[in-house]
Amino acid sequence: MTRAGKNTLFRVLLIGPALLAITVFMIVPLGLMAYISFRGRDYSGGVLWDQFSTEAYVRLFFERELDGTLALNFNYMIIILRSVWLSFLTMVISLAVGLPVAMFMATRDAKWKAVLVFMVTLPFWTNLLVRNYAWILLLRDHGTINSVLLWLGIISEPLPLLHNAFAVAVGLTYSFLPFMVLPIYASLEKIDLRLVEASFDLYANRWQTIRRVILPLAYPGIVAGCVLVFVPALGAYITPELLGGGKTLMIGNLIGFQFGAARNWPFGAALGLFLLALVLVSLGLYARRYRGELEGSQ
Amino acid sequence: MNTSTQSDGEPSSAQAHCAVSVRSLSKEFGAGSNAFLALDAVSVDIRKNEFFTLLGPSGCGKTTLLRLIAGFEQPTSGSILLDGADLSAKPPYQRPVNTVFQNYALFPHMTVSENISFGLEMLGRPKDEIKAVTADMLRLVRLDAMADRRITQISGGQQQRVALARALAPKPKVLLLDEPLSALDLQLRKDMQLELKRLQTDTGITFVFVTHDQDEALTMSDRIAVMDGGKILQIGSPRDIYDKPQHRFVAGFIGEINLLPVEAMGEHDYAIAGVGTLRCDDPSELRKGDPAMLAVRPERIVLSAPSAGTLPGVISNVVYHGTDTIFHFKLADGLEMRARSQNNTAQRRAFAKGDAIGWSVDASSVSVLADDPS
Repeated sequence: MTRAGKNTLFRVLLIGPALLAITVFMIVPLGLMAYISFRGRDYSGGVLWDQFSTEAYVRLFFERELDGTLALNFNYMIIILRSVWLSFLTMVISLAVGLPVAMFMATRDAKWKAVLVFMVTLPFWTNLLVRNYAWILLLRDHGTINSVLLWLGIISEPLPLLHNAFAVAVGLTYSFLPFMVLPIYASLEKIDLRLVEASFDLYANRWQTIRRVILPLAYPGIVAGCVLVFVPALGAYITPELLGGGKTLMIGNLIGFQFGAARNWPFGAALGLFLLALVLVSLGLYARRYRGELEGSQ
Repeated sequence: MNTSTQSDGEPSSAQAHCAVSVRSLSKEFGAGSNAFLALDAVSVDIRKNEFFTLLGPSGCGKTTLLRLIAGFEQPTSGSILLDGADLSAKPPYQRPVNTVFQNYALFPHMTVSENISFGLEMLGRPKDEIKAVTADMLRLVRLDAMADRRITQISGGQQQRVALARALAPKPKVLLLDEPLSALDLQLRKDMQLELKRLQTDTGITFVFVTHDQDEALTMSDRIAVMDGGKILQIGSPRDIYDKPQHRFVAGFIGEINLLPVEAMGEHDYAIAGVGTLRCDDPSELRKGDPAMLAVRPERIVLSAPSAGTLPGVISNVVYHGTDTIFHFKLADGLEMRARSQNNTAQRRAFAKGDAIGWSVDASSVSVLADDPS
């Protein structure tokens, strides 16, 4: 066998397991989802495999009246928009909170950096479900926060902190903050400190240095952090389920509901694909808008 | 070390002519048993419009001194005056000095012209002025055609010139250069040495240049401060530093030199045990009988046949170097010396290994080293 041939074989062998895993665990299920979304609904749960139907997609926007006519129905769109809005809010709050944290971490000395990175990842050592229950204890009417505020006499009635959009936003921000902090920290940490000195040397004060030198150079990390927070927040299930109550459903809960109690698998699959499309389109727009800046800061 | 102010020629009170005045400046890094004194009570006056070089081996404190002037480090004690005003309390962005960094530290997310105009923008200069000055700077460093290139798209030599233009654009009172040529290859370095000197003359800005390269220091500087161990050992013109080193370290760091342990005989005469006496023009405070150390450059030694008025020696080796020949010869006490002789036909002398010779040095070419003669 020629050397080049050996090389190719070697590469195929190396990449094989990963390709297989992606095919079996991602491409096939996605295809299955797409297929199911165009099948008829079996009211006892499951799918009518031999029946083609676009009913699931119609349902995204319309409600079928008893006489078979279609009427616009915004109920699902409201849930989807709420999901986008809450994820966006989570992303913005995480950025506002995470950026200063990452900056603080990146400017400590090596020993402290290791400790701080460990502390940021510490929540991962506990199950997400448990951590969300902990937030219930904090936020509920007779929870820690309301009790303290009542005891201090700042409020006379418990604040409605739980089972609303606020609780979901708090819970999502809490859950995904490390995904914002770590990539920003990683890109800040790589910045050559002499560039900061050069900026000071050229009459830029602290704020100007952050805005004109540090942030542009940390841009890849900021983008990565935003994507890593926004995308999983959009599909969040546990947090809105536990902290949002019945009134603050997000798209993840809606999908779960379709595969469960509602027994509408095709609609659940269609919602899932719609979510995927939403993510891909927003990422695509984002990449297009900021391509120049991303390349420039490499 | 007060030899610095002696060789300075001018008393330090001549402040009107000083761009930067450094007063017993010390910088200690670390604390307790790990403390390291990087700069040890250094005082120096850098004149206006001068090309001033801090020369020394790595770790001698030259870069620390530069960073203290720039404001990147805070002194442990002492002060820095710029045009007579104390800089100590000012952050780097309020000091009218700019730095050319060793690895340029150009902003990778900006174009060449954005880098150059950065300082002017931060100073809040009007837009049309920024544009005009940036264009001037691009012309000055001959990079007009590169204005919109990204930093990653230009060569090392071009990056070096951008760094220079960026630091010159705000017209600083003092330009600090931290080994700016060390990353360039030899030919480019030679070109940039001339270029730097031209820029300094053209702009009239005071340059403070840090290097460990003696050639660079000798060819570009108006004055050189030789540093070692956090101290300035000697300040003077390149000629002074080369011809009249006052310290063993200075003598050894720059060029080749012969060191001769001697005994003082009178104000100007020194005895080499078992060989004879050498004369030195410079007055010294040594008393008769004091041990001393003389320094003589190899090219200042004249070799001839043994005769009256010369000192005896025996050739031990002859090394041909193209432009010149180096004769190694031994004195009666076993000390080996070197004489460098240019290979031009008129003065060329042929000596072979084992030849007995006579050697002499003009009294003006002998220096007495100030530090201990051990």
